[in-house]
Amino acid sequence: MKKKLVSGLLVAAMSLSMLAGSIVSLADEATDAVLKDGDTTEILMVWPGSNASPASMQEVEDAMNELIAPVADAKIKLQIIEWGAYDDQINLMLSSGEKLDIFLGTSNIRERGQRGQLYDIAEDVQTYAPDAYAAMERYINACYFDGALYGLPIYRDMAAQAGLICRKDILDETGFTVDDVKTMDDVEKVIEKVHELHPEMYALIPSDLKSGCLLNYIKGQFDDISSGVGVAMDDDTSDGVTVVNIYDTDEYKEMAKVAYDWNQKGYFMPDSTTNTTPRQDILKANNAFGYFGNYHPGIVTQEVMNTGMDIVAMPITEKSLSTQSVNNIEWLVAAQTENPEKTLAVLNLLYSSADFQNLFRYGIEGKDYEVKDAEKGIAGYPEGVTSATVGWGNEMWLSGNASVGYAWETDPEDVFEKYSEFNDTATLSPLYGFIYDTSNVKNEITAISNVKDKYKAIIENGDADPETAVAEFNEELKAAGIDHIIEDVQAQADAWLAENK
Amino acid sequence: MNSKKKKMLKRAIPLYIMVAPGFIYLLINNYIPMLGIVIAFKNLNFSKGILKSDWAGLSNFEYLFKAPDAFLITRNTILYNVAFIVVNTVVAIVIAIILSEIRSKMKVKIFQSCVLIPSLISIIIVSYLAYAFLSGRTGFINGSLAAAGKDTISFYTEPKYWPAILIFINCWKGAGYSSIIYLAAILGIDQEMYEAAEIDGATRWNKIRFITLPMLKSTVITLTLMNVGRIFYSDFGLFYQVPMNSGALINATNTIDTYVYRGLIELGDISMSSAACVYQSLVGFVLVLTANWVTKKLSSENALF
Amino acid sequence: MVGKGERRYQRMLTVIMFLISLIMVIPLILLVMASITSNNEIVMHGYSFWPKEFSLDAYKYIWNEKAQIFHAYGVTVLVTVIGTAVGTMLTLLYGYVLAQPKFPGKSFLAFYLFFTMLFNGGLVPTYIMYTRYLHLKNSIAALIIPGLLMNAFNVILARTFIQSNVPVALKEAAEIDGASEFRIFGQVALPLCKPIIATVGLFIGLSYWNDWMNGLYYVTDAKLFSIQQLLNNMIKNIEFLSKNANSNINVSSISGGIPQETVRMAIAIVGLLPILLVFPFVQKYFIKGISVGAVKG
Repeated sequence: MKKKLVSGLLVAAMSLSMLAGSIVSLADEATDAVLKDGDTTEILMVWPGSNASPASMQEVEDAMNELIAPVADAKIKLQIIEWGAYDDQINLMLSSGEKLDIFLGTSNIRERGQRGQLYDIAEDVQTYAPDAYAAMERYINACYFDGALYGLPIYRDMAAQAGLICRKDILDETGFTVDDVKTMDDVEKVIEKVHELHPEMYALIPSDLKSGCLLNYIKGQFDDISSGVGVAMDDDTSDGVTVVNIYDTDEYKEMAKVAYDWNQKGYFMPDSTTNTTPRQDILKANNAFGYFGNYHPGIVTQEVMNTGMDIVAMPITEKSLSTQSVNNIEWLVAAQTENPEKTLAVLNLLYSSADFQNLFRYGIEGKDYEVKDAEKGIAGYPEGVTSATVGWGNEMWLSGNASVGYAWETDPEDVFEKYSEFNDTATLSPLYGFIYDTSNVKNEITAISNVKDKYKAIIENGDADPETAVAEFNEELKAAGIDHIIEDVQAQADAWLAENK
Repeated sequence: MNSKKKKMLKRAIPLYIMVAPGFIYLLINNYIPMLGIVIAFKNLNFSKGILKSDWAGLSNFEYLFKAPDAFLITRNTILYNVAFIVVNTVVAIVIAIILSEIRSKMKVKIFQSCVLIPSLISIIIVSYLAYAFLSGRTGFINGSLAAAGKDTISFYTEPKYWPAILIFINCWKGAGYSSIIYLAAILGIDQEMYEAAEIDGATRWNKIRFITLPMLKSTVITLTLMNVGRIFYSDFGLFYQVPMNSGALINATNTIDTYVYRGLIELGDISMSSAACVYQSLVGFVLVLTANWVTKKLSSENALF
Repeated sequence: MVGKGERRYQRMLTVIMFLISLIMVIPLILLVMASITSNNEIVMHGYSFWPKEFSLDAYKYIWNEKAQIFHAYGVTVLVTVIGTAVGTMLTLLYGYVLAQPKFPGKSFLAFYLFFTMLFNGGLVPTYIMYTRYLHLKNSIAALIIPGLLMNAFNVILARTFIQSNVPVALKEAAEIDGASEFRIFGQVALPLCKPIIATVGLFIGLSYWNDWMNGLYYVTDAKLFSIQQLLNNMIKNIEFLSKNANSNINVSSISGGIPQETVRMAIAIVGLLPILLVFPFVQKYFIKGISVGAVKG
């Protein structure tokens, strides 16, 4: 009896696996049938840029269509919207249900999903965009919102880390080298020396507009889940996690003290919290040493380009990877997409086809870029073309999977290995993959955002006595209901851990 | 009776035709989209459509009242608006009267262009210009104070100066514009009234006091009534951009609009922002109805409707 | 004719008005000076009325974009002219009707108008109305029709003016002569309304000239950008940079080489300049319109 059952199960299992095999081959045909149904579907792809109608737009579109034709009966339509109008336009397009298929999402992905504005590709992605899925698989786990997948994360610097980014000439004057600076204490020594040598110079400037100079001091130490509520990156999950108010931790208080001390010593640029000049322009004006900000493998290239100065960068804080740092920028599929299958087929090209990727990122070969070194896969501007005159160009962090395309000549040759290594060696948040549902605490979040605007920049710039200011900050956060968020995050995180560990 | 009514209707037909284009425009531009007010009471889900989304009751409004700062932002909004109405009206009328009294057409032209300029500069640019005067590091005011050997003032961290600064900037930006309305009204006054008064030996001041000002009454009442309707609204640029979103100033500069903006940046919740608008409109509506009712009792021809 | 007292009075008025005008204009002068200062000086020392280091970089940058800027001027002028003409007409008509003595439906019409001042459906429904049903996205009409064409504020101004400046007796006399309502409006009321036509026309014109919201919402095609939208895009691009600079987005192409501080100011001037140049001519009609009202009766 028992034996019979086992053999019966075996037969069942065998026939199932055979069935599965035939499904796979069937699926290929079925996929083709869906993608090549004879109807040409228009697929509108929208993303932000600084020029809404670059010169090569039409040519890029035509060339992309040639690459799409063998894969699917679809024509792509490209649309770039200027940075400043992008959020408004995307909100309106999603809300009005007008034509839109794929777009670059930079905010509120969960809320948009909950509002029914995004298309869930969880079921279709492995069928219609298998290569893209395979390329991003490591990170896709952080993109499931209540089981729904709305898009694909982007190959870029996903890990978060902060460091000292500064002028090389001044650093040389201090006698320190890049290799000497590893910790915050080292940074202080450098800054102190700079201030001593150049009292007229701003030793540290803010990395962001209207913010404190030490905004990034504790970057990478906490996974900020929502409104300053989060967990320590080194929290051990074996006994569950402890959700805390980040602004009430010793680390934050320590930062406040340092900020106050440095401010008193005159290391900071005055009026940082009301400053509206981007850091690059301040550096360019030749009277500042550096800033404490985002560190990633491309930072030096980027800042050299922006400031025209010799810049060096030293990673300082913990490097960590959280759900949020992966899924805050994605290529998303809009709910109103007419044909999600073909849309996914196009996304698949962006993430896996070198030709398609190069078209998207650099434009037309021979006109907007040329291959400088085919073997190493390096591209650069043709003679006489500059960043100001080029007819096309998108940055890496919005290009899908840039690693299948060429590297740029100003980047290190092994730039993609460096990015992969940067992301892969980061500390994983204990709650990596957990996405918090804010529905229960919307009132608290609005109140807390207001309190943060009131205190955060001032404290992080050391403009207020740290003892009293941090205490007041936390008092107001409590009044705004931060404890409620802590409880809610804790409950959801516990449930998630129980399910996923 | 019936025929009288018919006659009145018949006489009104041309009026209906004249008002039709505007009527239709308001229907398209304002009334049909007003259906969207339901968004404030919905748990929006676009896959179901706006109208078929689940009802959320009043939960989208909660954040406006539960906030610890609810009283502060309401108080700020109302007090600033009251101050704006009073100061702007007085300054605009003064400018209009002076312009109407100046005989040289050339001068009137030049002065009028000058007072209009501020209303043409966008508020973001205004915030940079204000910064040029007020900044601690590079501002003119502090530069002069330092040159005179006095203590400098850190404007962007001292809330006590900001009510005055904001009222001044608002007046600077808006008074010239409103003065045009008053000037048109003054120049519309029958000259014979002034001539008759002159014959009676009235002084300049008397003419202003007893002819011009009373003739401006209806314009002042109309404009004020309209402003009362917007008393829960505030100019976002003025309260957010001009103080440079400086944390230290928030108690003096946070209004309903800036509170909602700061609060919803992270959530991007359409229903909640819509709820704020409905709340602001509703309060304005009630206040205007009240004010209009009072006006009707006192001088019925000045009532809005 | 003009007495000594009158002369002194005029002088006093001129001095007061001069001081007021000075306060109004000083920031404009600062704006102009800032636009010709070197960017580095502004970054380091802030704005000044007499920069140590002059620079025309901002205008050079703008000149590179001249094709787009002149095109944007064209769009703005077209939109302003059409919008002002149509808008003033609609406003006057509605205001005139509301200024008439009792007729059936008058208070409804007044309330219907006034209600729009207080309540609105918000951006999303309005957007859906204009793009999904009226298909105005990326058209000149989208810059003219939404929001600006007629507003309650101007209509009420017109009504108030007509009520107190177009005598009922005049209208009644015309009625006895057998004139139709349309003729009375065109031949009796309109000539008396010149001050308010000038005022309302100016207000509507300025609101079109200064508008960038319609562009932001309804236009994504660079060919239809107005001059204010260009300015606003630029400022908002920088804001975007500031908002997202810390969220792993490394926007480098925004600032790349543009002297931002001064370009911002220069574009503001580019947007302002035409009005300052055109205003004296408009004003001639404006003052004329106003004075025609003054000598009536």
